[in-house]
Amino acid sequence: MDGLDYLFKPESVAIIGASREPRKFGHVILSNFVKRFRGKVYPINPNAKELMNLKSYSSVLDVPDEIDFAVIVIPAEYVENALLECGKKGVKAVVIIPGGFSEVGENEREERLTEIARKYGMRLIGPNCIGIFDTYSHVDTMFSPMYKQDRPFKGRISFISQSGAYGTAIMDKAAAENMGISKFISIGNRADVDEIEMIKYLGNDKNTGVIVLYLEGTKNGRELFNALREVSVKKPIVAMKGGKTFEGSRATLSHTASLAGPSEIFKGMFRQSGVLLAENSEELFDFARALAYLNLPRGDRIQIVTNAGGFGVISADEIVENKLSMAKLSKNTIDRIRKILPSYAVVGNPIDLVGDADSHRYEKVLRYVMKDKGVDAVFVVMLLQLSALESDVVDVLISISSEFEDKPLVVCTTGGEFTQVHTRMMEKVSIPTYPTPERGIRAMKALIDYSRYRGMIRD
Amino acid sequence: MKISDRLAYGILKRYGIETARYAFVKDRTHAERASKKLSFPLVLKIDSPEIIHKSDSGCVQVAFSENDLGEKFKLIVKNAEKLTKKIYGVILQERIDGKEMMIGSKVDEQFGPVICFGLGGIFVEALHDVSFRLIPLEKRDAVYMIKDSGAYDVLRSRGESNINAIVDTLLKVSRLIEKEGIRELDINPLMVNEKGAFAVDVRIIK
Repeated sequence: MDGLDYLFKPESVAIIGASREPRKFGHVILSNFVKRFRGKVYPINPNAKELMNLKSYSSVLDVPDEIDFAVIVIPAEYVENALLECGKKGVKAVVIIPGGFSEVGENEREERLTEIARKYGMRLIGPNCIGIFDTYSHVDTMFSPMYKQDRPFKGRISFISQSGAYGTAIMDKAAAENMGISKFISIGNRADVDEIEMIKYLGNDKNTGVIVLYLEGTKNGRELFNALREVSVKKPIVAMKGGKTFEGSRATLSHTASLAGPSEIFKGMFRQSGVLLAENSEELFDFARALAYLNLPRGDRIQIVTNAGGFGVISADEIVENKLSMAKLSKNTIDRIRKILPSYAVVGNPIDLVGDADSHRYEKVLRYVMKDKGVDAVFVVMLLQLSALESDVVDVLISISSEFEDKPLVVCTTGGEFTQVHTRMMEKVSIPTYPTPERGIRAMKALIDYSRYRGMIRD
Repeated sequence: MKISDRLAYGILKRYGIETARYAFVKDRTHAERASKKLSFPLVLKIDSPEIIHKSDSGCVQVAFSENDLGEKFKLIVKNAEKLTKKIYGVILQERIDGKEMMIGSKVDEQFGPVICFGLGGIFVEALHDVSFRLIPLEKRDAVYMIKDSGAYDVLRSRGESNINAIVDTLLKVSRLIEKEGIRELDINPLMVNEKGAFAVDVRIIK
């Protein structure tokens, strides 16, 4: 195993700062491991003999067995010593949760951690972070208790975040929306492992299909660029840069310098390295879901199938706005579809199945649409508020998606609780579903952009 | 420090970047002589390291024929002398029609040398329509950075040929920046028409 492997698939874990106080981070993290982790767990706390029915030790050095991985969750001033003991014990990887280092100007304190890690060949995540969450191994250093923050189930999306709290909220939301996650890494102050190394690691991780990146800055721009370029030809990367405002200095000598805000340059760098750029936090995961669930399309011609005229129009507007193409059905397809639709339905692009469409109508029409050579991807709008459309439309979409898996199918459905229940059902079976045409088409554009980058679509 | 325009045009030439036809002149007689090899109307521009925004201070003038060349020369030098004594000379330049684009470059703290492309002219800051890439640029990067900018819609009506000319110019500027170690560069405007892409004004900060 590589050094970083011990962060994600250790066989034994020590929680330094494990606590019996339910509100303490050390308690939550210990309980995460006790509940779900399959390897050995060692609570470390000099003031306890036993925690959660496990024998507690006063130092990692007292633990009789080997320790692969340690979580340090004690105040900043004690971290150095604890880390030193981890080094002596032969711990391979460590997450340091507490803040109080370079983010508050304590640079030397942080540098000492880096030195200790290097000296003993340990890999470090943090300090000042949430650490790691892995749905496969159940490594979970997130210190929000499970009753307050749900854990998502297994999936193929991995998330590297420079902001810990943002990541925590996303994990909670992912769980609520049935979005599958592989790993979440809060990189914190990056005293050792940084986003660059993590991107490369996830590039080779078989449980990761899509990498999502939230960054505010980087310490090594060129290496970041090279890593992104190297990995983006293997799997899609979706990124967002936080901190967009830029007070352009008015005294610059050139136009270029006054235009070159850090965000503009990040944006260009992301594009150049094949990374999909999310404009906001919603798009990060909107794109990631489409990329994680669907195959890449062979072209950008989209057919809209809807049971609501207005949503068809808005979707068409979005396709044009995003510089994608409206598919043109062959005469043959149009004739066949006309035969199965009522005379008042509009067959073209969009195809308006009209308000009394049931799931059979969707099924028959989608089958013809999928077989048309002029269609590369399908955008299905279904308003579930209409009485004719029953829940079995979900089964129709599942079977159509799996039968024609080379033509990505994206769903848009807007509404309240009833609609949301169906949205979650579809997420669970990997049909990317969006609450507005704008978001759905933007996700489709990301899919098409990536397909083009990989050379599956020729201009 | 801004280098002299004369040197800046010379650098562009060395890297095969096309410019509007021009002559660099020191005085009025020199201007009259040089103008015979160029075609009117001619644009006169002061070459001074101290004058960055030339058009704001009357340091750009247009001579429509030989008759008003002398007068415009006098005027532009007078306007420049109000601002500085450091005047290298005057650039006489043929006018080119086309769509105003810009190419720029700077050294970024996090990423090193970067290049940008977008709609040009005097309102670039207001338009804020440029896309950036890291240098060195590959052909594919150049194509997509044009497509990413709003300028693409403006250019598309003119067909593929002038896009190729911009791609070509971007690659040349990328090479120039790599080799010359320049801190900041503006080619603004870069005039794009059916014949190609031409640097009409250049500013280089070493």
